[in-house]
Amino acid sequence: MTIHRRDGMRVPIVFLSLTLGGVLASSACTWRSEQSLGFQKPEPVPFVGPEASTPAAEAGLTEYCPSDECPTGYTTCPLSNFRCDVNLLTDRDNCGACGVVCPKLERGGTFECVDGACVMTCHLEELADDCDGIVDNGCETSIVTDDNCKTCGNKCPAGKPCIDRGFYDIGCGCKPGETYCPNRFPACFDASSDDFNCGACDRVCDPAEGGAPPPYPNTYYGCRESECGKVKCNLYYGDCDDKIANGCETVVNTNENCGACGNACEPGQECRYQVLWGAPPILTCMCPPGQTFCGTGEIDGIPAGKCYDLKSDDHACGACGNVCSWDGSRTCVYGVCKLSCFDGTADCNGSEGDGCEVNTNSDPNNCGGCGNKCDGVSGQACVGGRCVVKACDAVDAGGPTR
Amino acid sequence: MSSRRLIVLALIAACAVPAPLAACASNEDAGPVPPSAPEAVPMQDASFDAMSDAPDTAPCTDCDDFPTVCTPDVLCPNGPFQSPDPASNLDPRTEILVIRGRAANDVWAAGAIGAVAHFDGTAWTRSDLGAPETQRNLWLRDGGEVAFGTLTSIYTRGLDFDGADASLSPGGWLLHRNPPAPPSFDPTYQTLRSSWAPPGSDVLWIATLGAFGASGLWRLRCAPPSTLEIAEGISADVCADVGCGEMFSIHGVSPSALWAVGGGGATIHILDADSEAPKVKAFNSVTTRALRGVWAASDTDVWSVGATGTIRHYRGDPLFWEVVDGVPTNEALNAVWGTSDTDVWAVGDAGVVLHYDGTTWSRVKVAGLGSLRPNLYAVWSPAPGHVWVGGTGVILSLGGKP
Repeated sequence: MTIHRRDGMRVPIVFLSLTLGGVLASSACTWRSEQSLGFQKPEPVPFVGPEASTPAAEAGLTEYCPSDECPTGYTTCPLSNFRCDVNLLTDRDNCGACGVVCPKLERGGTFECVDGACVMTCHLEELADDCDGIVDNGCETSIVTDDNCKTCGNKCPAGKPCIDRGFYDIGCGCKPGETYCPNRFPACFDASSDDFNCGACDRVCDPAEGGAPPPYPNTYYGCRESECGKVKCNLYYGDCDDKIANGCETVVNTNENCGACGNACEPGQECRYQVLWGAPPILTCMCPPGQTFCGTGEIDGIPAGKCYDLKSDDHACGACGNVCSWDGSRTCVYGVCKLSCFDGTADCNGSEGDGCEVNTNSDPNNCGGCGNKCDGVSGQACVGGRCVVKACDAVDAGGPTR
Repeated sequence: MSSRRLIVLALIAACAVPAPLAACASNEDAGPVPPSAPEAVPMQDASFDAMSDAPDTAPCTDCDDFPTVCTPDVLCPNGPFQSPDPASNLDPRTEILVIRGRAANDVWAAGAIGAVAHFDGTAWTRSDLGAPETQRNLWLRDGGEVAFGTLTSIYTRGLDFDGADASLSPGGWLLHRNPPAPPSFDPTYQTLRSSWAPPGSDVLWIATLGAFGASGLWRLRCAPPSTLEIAEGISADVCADVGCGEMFSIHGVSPSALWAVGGGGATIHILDADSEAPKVKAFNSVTTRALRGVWAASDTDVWSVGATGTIRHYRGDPLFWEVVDGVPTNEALNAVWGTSDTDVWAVGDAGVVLHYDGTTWSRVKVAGLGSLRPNLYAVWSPAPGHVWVGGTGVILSLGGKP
């Protein structure tokens, strides 16, 4: 057995040849690693069994003891909740030094702490970028211009203006087959059959063609092939028998013809409006096996909504409208919402109201998990979910504490 | 001590069984999603042949609590997961979240994804709710049942509500969507936990997790054929003062005096509960851990259970509940029920079942789980010596018998 007790209190931990200013143990004093930990969370290394009884020094191993020092890069700030809980290299609120806060959002840019310095990043959703490289004026350049289209310096050719096509799809001109109407959203669309922009912006077709009656049952005059005056089926009707004389004889919002001629719904499904984010409602056979229809309203008397798997959908868990959480802190497990703690947090008191209330990255009483105490030495900190240790020789030499 | 009496018949060394039957070989596979239903349990006299050539299997840490062989005083699977007809079985991932009964031969269980089942004294039979919605609450009325998982979808069965036969589910359930509710009730801020109604009452008290300062105590008034409505139990303002925003469980022995427990150790006494203006008083539970279950034997003998094996006992003090030491588990306890002050059951995570005999809380063995250690959420007892326990993929009874 290579772990042995010293001074009646400190238990050294044996690592395979390491170099570091401070290292971290998964519990107060019970594991060993061959990795330099620095500020990173180490991967646990299997415990060496009793058969590996070669003395540490003979095996070229370094003994580690509990330490009250912070690892390199970590410190304790005036507003710290726990010892050594601030990483000066990555903490946005203490970037490089205690109290140095990186701006959250400034002139279209956000800041993160990288290697102890605040670094700005421009995001596409702000539709602006930092084209002059000057941080003080933020993301100063619009990226929906002909000179900087989506990226700095990307110029659009003549006749193809830079267009925000919607949903952060930015580019020079519309895609082939689409018409550009700046006052419409989306600005690029197929105008060849649009009754209100027939072949060109704002070219509205007269459904009665100046008072002429519909030539066939359930029809009107509309846009096709970019021309008005074409005979079209009324909404919810279709010419399913290809006989022009009887017009659009078939209702196409039924289970037999759902949204199109011959599109029959499977048993157990019904023809309803499917409403998806960012898309127009569409008549669809709903719902597939294993999913449940959750209605959000009606369109022309037809139920509209979306299909959910109540077994696993975080936004309809066990029942329509039962949202586990919007931030991922609770997830759906076979129809029941379960608390889902992010890395470095845990629910130690069982209350859902305060969520995952414990910081297992830094709390020395719950280090890496509820109830795991860092008590190998007075003042031993918890960093990255590990109790801090360092080479026993350095501890014996009486290194400085912070 | 009666709880000791429960285990003395466990004559068989549980580890000394062939690998396929070994309950204790490993619990590493135990998790929130069991791969299959618990195994059929060999009865004591049927297991000797199998054991005669059993190898000396690997050591296990919980063999004593999870024997392989079912004996009369050991809890064993018996429920809608073990039907001889596999097609009628509930999915083993199903969490049974509530069990209630009127008598030993009239017991109901409900849980995730539309799971509802009835025990008639002989066998469990599934009841088709008609929707895969998770059910957390059962209210057994005279002449019918009420089941719900959210207060926007309430199912009634056998009650004289107006409803065409065509709208009934195959199991005879009638869905009531969005019953009338006061303006202070917002279903998006309410996560239902459990409920309780005194026998014969038209009012069900409901414990909820109320988000954003909402109340955690509501009432459901059910008076067929026309009245099914939500009413405020305790107002949000009062809850903010006494701490009843996150309630897990509610129970009482009379219509006028109830106890509710919840997050942060909240313990609330509700007086005049059957009036239009109930009064509340907060008690000191001497814990900040969540309390998940409460059951009252009398007005001066009440039990609550919760996170990390927490048990509290009320015996009439004007302010404090008593701390119960020596609880034989650190697992979260999720529910408690009993038949008298000397016959109380508590169930919790990882297959933990405890029994109180009037003097001591003792661990109760559970057989037939294989390597699984399911979380247990529901318990109900019709009489001493009879108990039903429900959890993930299991319903248990003593000896696997009614």
